[in-house]
This record gives sequence, structure tokens and C-alpha cells, in this order.
Amino acid sequence: MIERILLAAAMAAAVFYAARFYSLRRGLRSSRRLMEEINGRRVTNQKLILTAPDRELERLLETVNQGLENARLEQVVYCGREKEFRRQIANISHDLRTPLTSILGYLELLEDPDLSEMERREFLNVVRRKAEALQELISAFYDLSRLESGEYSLDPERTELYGLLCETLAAFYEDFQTAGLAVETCISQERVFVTADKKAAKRVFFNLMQNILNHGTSQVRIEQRREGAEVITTFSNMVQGMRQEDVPRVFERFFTADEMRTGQNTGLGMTIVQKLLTEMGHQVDASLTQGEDGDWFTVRIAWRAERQADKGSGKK
Amino acid sequence: MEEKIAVTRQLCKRYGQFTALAPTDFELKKGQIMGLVGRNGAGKTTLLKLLTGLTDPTGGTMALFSGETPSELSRARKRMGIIVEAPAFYPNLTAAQNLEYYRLQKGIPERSRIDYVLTEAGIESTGKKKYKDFSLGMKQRLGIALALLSDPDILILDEPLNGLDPMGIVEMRSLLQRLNRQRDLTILISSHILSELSAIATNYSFIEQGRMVEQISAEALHEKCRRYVEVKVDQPQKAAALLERELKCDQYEVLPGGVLHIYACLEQPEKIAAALVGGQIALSVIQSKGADLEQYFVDLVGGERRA
Amino acid sequence: MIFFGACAVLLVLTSLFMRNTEPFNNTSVSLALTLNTFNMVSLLTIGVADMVFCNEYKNQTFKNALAYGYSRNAIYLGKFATEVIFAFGIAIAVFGIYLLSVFLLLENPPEARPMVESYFLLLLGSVPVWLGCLALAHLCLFFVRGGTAASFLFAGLLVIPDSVFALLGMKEGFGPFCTAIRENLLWNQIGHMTTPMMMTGQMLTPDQLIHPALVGLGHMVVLLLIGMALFRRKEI
Repeated sequence: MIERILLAAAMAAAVFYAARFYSLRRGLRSSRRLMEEINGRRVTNQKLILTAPDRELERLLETVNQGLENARLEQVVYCGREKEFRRQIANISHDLRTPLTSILGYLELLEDPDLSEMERREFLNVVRRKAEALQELISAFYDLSRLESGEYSLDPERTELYGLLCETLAAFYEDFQTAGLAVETCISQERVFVTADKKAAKRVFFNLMQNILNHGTSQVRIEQRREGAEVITTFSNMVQGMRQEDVPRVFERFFTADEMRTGQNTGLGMTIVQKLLTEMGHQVDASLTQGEDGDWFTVRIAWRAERQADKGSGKK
Repeated sequence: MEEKIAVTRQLCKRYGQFTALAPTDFELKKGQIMGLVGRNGAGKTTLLKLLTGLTDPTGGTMALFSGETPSELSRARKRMGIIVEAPAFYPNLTAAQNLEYYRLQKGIPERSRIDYVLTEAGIESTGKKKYKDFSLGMKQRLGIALALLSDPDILILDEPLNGLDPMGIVEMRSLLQRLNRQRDLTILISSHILSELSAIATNYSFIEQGRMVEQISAEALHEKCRRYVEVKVDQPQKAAALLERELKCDQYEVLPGGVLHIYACLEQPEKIAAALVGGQIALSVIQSKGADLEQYFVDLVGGERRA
Repeated sequence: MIFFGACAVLLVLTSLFMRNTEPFNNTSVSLALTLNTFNMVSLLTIGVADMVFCNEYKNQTFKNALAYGYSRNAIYLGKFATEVIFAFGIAIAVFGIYLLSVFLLLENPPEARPMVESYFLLLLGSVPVWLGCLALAHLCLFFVRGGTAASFLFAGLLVIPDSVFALLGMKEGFGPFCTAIRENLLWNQIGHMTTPMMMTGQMLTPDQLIHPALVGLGHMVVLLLIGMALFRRKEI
């Protein structure tokens, strides 16, 4: 009796393990086939699934799936960049096309022999202005792309900010007046030195003031002072209709406050500012404070000041 | 190279004498968010059931991911995430338990996937609540979670926005858009409310009484529903000429009853008014209008019923 | 689950009670007492099947599996296989506990040997019959909405044919035909095996198991095939 029970048990065990073995082999084969399918596809989210109840197989599939997912995520990033790139190309061609079309239109008008001298001069002025704007755009974009690929050569030297700021301010003074902007300044007369490329720093100030000119509504406030190991320069202007969500995007390429891109903005000014400053090792950020009398948009640059050397004989 | 995810040729379904779906040619391409629009009972669910294999067709053929044989279709369906009719789950299990059941059934090895889809769908904090105690919105979200569980390449959703509150609709829409962008997920959504879909759909299919009435891209649809300025004048011909001469505008339509639809100067209808009045044309109505999508659909369907 | 647990407990309790009751306190008596419950077990298969089936229709949850690409045959047979495993598990648990209690608590004299052997053979022979019943239960659950209605249908299909053919057999000329049918009905198989044991004290022999086994397995296969065919055409 006992032998028969043992025999039955042994047979049952044999059948059981044979079944498990067979099912495991089938599971491996189907997983392999599925993997081949996934490999053959360009883009897919599909992952391997467990077709035989085996713990080790499950763990293996989990690891393989993790690998697949990593590859997929990289693909997503890559595609995202491609799309972004194409979008930028589209933006550029749009930006170039509009002034060019307008220039061509005016040139056509200039061919009219019945044009008065005044009209002719006016048209020519328009054409010149638009061509210059085009040139500016192209050069801005060129600079930006060089900055991004690290080819823009910056020549850091001991730069004095007070003088630079005042210089740029003077250049813009008339434009601010004409635009009806009331400028308030609070610039410390202390001579502060930072390590920066002179031209780049000038460009930073220039772009920021240009931005104010384009977007400022009534009041402008420019400040500069030393704060410990930093020199803080702030440019604030009143704005209308700006939202908090726009603030972090201000430094993005081609971001302009008006989505229709009907103005003269390249949308690259702020981007260049940020890139230049970061390249030189300084920091910049933007903020929007909403008050009852209006909203203030502020750009704040934190320059790393040079150690104040003895006046006259510098260590550098 | 755009892959055709689903193609049907003369696919039809009859229940005895009743034709639920007339022979239909339908196409769904990769990366689209297709809105399947139709009134209740128009045949949307029938089409979805045919695509997902819940019902067998009475005629016609269907290809999913370029596979037509039953075994290929079966393998293709493993790449689909679906909700058809209401979501169905076991009432006495919690959300996580329900998903665990299906995770095992589908053979998905990663246990962490469950938490991931619960968070994506927005119901990560139901804890021990049993499915039978869920609100309608939560049930819908669990349905979406299940659809996402297998990391599909295509989602087929039958009226997924049903029962969601406005906040939920916004979340669901942004979720679907994000998945479409980031994971290349093709989405087929059916709804009888066109405005729900209009924010995210890239293509539309209109279905009425079992017949596919129109398949159109979102841009084309918006083009057809363009905004215009409507004016009612006493001398339409003179008005038209005036528009051409004064405003250099040639995009307009003359309709009976002295009505003109002008597709320019949309932001400044007063210019149109000034020009017309200046030309001594009596102007009785001037309005900015746009055929909204619902109106388009109603017209389309109404026309179909008359036909 | 609770029900089956209660069964196991009750059976153990009977063994306990019998411990001290001479001359009943031996295994053969105790085992014999349960002989007529075997037919009841056939009816209980619907309970097992229902547990596994989980109200799929009420909850409409079939579509989740179907839309994933699992074929209808796979679903039908898969659920059946689970029911079989469950049934085996429960049977082993309940019978196992009972037998264990019997052997441990009661005396096992040599004259009880034949009874014990028969009992095991009976168990062995009943398994195919129970499988057949399970297939019938499976069929009923799949095609009738609601567990309760399905249970009634199942019980009816299991028990009634016997009486029907018995009545029919009384009519002129139908006698032999009906008896032949009755010989092969599921419901009667266990009776074939247990009745001789109960009535005449005759012990079971292995060759007596063949007929019930064939009937049981035959029913199972046929019922499964019918079920699969019907399920293919069902709308979800």
C-alpha cells in the first residue's frame, strides 16, 4: 500500500515539474518573439509580459523592461529636441520673411515713376529701417548660436560697472524721454569692479534697456549697489498684462510678450543677456511684483564682485 | 512614415434587421488624437467594440497595426489600452487590488506600475476604499489607470469625460495631451459633446445612424468654422463692390436676404461699418460671428438625415 | 469559503463525538456515515465555480480581458481550469481534515481495512464525476445572468433528468431506452458506487470505477465544448 502511494506521489511530482519546465520554455520563447517584434519597431511603448509563472523569469523581464523604458525615454527627449529645433527654424523664417516681404513691397512701390520726392524719401527710410532690423535679428541669432555652442569668445577683464551703466543710460536717455517713460535711478557712485567681458557687459545693459523701451509703460527704475561680495544691478519697469506664468519664460528664445510676433522684437534679447551673464559666471533672474498702482517687472543681476584691490595698483 | 494604426474596409455590424454600423472605411494614423463624434446610439460604441474585439463584425475587414489575421489582431490588442462603455471592476476590491488583479492577468512584471498609473490618473489616495464606494469620476479615472497599465501605444476611450467635474475634465485633457506628446500615444476618443474634444483633438470623425459621415482634420474643421463678420445691408451688390474697392477685401460671401459674410477685418468690424455707411448703404446688422463646432455638427448631421 | 470551512469543522466534530460511543468508534463506521454526502458534493460544485466566476456578468468585467486580446476559448478554459484547481484544493482540505480526524481520533481495527480502501477508491472514482458536474456548473454560470438563477438551473439540470427518464421509462416501449440513458446520467454515477456499499456492505473494486469515470469525463469534455462554442457567439 505504501509503495503504491509513494509511486503515485512520485508520478504526480514528475508530471508537475515536467509541466513547469515545459511552460517555462514556452514562456521564454514567447518573450523572445515579443522582444524581436519590439526591436523591429522604430517607436513603441510596448514592454515584455510574463507568460509563464516563474519568479526568476518575472524578474528578468522586469529588468529588460527597465532597459526598454530607458531607451524609450531617451527617444522621447530626442524627439522633443527635434520638434523644438523645427519650431525654432519656423520662427526664424517667419521673422525673416515678414520684414523682407515688407521691403519688397515698398521697393515695388518705389518703382512708381509718379512718386513725389517726399514719398520716395519716406519709403526709402522705411526700407532702410526694416533692413537694419533684419540685420539685427540675424546678428542676434548668430551670436546666440555661437554662445550656445561655446564658440563665442569672451575676454574677461577687470570691468568697472558704474561707468558702463551710466554710459548706456546716457545713450538711451533721449529714447526714454521720447517714449514718455519716467526714469528713476539709484546708482551707487562707488566704483565697483567685476570680472567680465567689457563688450558683453555693455551688451547686457543695452539689451535690458532696449527691453524696457519696448515694453515699459510709464515708470522705470534702475539701481546699482554693492551688497557684500556681490554687485546688484536691477532694472525695473512697469508693465501691463503680464502674468506670473510668463516670468520664468522671459529668458526663453523667441519668447515675446505678444504671441503674434507683430512687433519689432527679436525675442532673443533676454536670452542673450542670460547666456552672456552665465558664461561670465554671474547670475540673473526676473520677477514680477503686483501692486495696487501697477505691476513691476524686475530683472536683477548679481555680479560677483572682484576683491577690492588697493586703488591704483591692482593685483591683476 | 506615418503608420496606420487602424484601418477598416467596409466594416459593418448588423443585429438582425438593425444596422448598427453601415459598411465603413475608417483610418486612424499614428500620433493623432481622433475624436469620434456622434449622438447617442449613432454607432460610436459599436465601432469601438469592433475595433477592440468585443464583437465580431458581420462584414468587412479590419487591420490593426497592419495585422489582419485573428492572431495578429490578438497580438495587436495587447498594445491597446481601452475603456469601452462604463469602466468595469470588482466592487469589493480597492483600486490597487483591482489593478493588481489585472496586472497579473496581463502579465505585467513591474509591480511599481500600479502606483505609477494611479498617480497619472489622479487617484493615488483612495487607500482602502472599495470600488463600489467610488464616485463616478473616480471610476472613470480608475478606468484610465487600467488602460495605461500595459504601457499601450494606442488608447481607445469611450466617452471618458462622462461624469467628470470641470476640474477633472481639464486634468484628463492635459493628461491625454501630455501622453500624446511624450509617449507618442495615439488616442481615439468618442463623445457626443463636440466642445469637450475641440481642445485636444487633431482629427474628427462624425458618425450618425451607423454611417460615417465625415472624417476631417482639426485644422480643416476650424477653417470651415472660421470667424466672420456678418452684415445685413439693403444693397448687397453695391456693398460688395465697396468692400473690394475701399477695404481691398475679396474674402466674403453674399447670402440671400442682403446678408454678407466677410472673412477679413475681423478685429475691426467698425472699419466695415464706416466704409458701408460712407458709401450710403443702409446697414441694419453687423455682428462678429463664428460657426461654432456644435453648429457645424448639427448642420452636418441634419443634412445627413434629410439625405 | 466560510461554508467549506464550516463543513470541515463539522466533520471533525462528528469524529470527536463518536470517540466514546462503543461500538461505533471505529473508522469504518465513521466513513460509512459520509457515503451519502458524496452526491451532495456534486451539487456543491456550483459553489466552487461561483467563487471563481466572481459575477463577471454583473460587473461586466469580461471586456477587460477580451479587449486585451485573450481569445474566448482561452478565457472559458482558463476559468474552468481555475475552478478545477480550486475544487481540488477545497476537496483535499475538507476531506483531508476529515480523514485525518477520523484516523487520529478513532480506532482503526483490521476489519475496517476493506472499508477504508473502498472509501479511497470511492473518492478516486468520484473525481471524474465531480469534474463533469463542475463543467455543467461552469456552463450555467457563463450563460445565465446571476449566480442564483444559475444555481437553480444547474441543480435542475443535474437532478431532474433522472426523474424525467424514470417516468418516461414507465411508458410502453421506452423502458430499456430510458434505463440506458439513466445509467449514464451524471447524477446516478455516485449512487452506483455508494448504494451497493450501503445496502449490502459490499466493497468497491477498481473496475467498478471505470464506468463512472468515463461518464464523468465524457460529460466534462462535451459540456466544455458546447460552452466554448456558445461563448464564441455571445455578445459582450
